[in-house]
Amino acid sequence: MADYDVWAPDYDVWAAEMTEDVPFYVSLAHEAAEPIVELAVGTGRVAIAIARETGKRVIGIDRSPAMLAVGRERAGDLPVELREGDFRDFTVEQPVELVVCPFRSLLHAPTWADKRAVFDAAARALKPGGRFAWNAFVFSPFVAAANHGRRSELEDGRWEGVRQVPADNRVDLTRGRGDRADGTVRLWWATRSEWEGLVEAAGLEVEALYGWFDRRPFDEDSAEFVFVARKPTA
Amino acid sequence: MSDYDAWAHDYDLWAAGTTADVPFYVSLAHEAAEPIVELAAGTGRIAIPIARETGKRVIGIDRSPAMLAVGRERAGDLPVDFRLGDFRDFTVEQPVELVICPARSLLHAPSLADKRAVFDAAARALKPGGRFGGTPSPSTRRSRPRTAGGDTSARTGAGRRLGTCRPSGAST
Repeated sequence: MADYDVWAPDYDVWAAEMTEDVPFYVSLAHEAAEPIVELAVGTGRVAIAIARETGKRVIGIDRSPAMLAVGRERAGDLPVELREGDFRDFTVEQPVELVVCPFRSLLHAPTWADKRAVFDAAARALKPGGRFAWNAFVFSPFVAAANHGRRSELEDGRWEGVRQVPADNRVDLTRGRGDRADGTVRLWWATRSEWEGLVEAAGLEVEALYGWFDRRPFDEDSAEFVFVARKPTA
Repeated sequence: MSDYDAWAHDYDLWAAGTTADVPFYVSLAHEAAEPIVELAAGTGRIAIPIARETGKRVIGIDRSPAMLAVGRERAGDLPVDFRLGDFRDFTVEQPVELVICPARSLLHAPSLADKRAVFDAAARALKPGGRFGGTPSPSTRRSRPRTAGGDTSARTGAGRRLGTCRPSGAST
C-alpha cells in the first residue's frame, strides 16, 4: 500500500494538464538504447507514450500497486514492464542509457538521504555516458501563500486540500470526503543548489538545466527545473 | 569593497532587532578554546559580546572594509582581530575549536559551489571535534556509511543540522 493508492482511480484526470513533459521525455528516449527506465512510473502516463512512439522497451518502477494496476491495463500490449519497487534502491539487470523521473516525483523522497539514495541508484543503473533526467517545480512563496489552506471540492463530494510546511520544505496534498481524510501525498521541494549537490554527490554531471520542457534556458523567472544529468564516460 | 559597504554606517540600527542569537553563540564560545572564528563578522555584533563575555580572542572575517572599520571602532581594546577576507577561502594559522557564521550570512553565498567552499574552509579550519555554528564536526558524530561522495554527504548533513539550530530565525 502506498499513499498514491488513493489517487489511482482518477490520477489520470488529475494529471491531465501535465502534457508538455511527454514529448521532452520521448525525445530523450529516442536518443537512448532500450530499455528505458522510468522511476515513479505510476499509471504509465510517460512510459506508455515512450513505448508507443519509440517502440523501445520501458521498465517502469513504482511503489503503488494500485497505480501499477491502472498502468498495466492502459499499456495493453506495449513493451512496458511495470515493477513494484522503491526508487531509492531499485536495480536493473543491465546498465541502461536513460533513467527518467518525470512529474516532480523525486519530491516524494523526504530527506537529503532519501534523495541521495535515488541519485545513487540511478547512477549505478547507468552506463557511462548515460543520462538521468527529471523535473521538479521551483518553490514559489507567492504560489504557496496563495494555495496554503485552500480546499478544492472534487466531483462526488470529495475534496483536496493543500498545506504548506516551510520548515520541512514540504507541501501536503490531502484528499478526503466530508470530515474524513483518505490520504496525503507529501512533496519535499528542493532548491537548485540541492539538485546540483545531489548530482555531484552521485558522481554525475549536469548536462543541461532547462526552465521548461521546450528546452528554454533556466533563468530567474523559471517555474520548473528540467534537469538532464550524465554519468561521466571516463 | 563589498555590497555591505552601503549598509555599514547604520547596520547596527538595522540589525538592532536581532539579539536572541547572541547568547547562543556566546554559550558555544564558552565551551571552546580561543581563538573563536566568526565568518561574516561585519561590525562585530556577535564577535564583540563573545570577546567581552568570555575574554577569549575572536578572529572576525568579513569582505566589507566599511563594516570592519565600524567593528574595529566598536571593539576598542577587546581582543577582536578583524580581518578582510572571503569566507569561501579563509584560513587560520592554527586549527580552532569553534567557527560560527551567525545571522544567516551563509545565505550570501549564491551557489552550491560557493556554500560548499565555505563549509570546506570551515572544516579545514577546525580541530577534530571542533564545531561549526553549533554543528559537531564529523569526527564527533556517529559514523555513517560511506558511499560514493560520502564526504559531500557528511558536509551537507552538517548543513542540515546547522539549519535546525537557528535561534535568531526561530525568534523572528
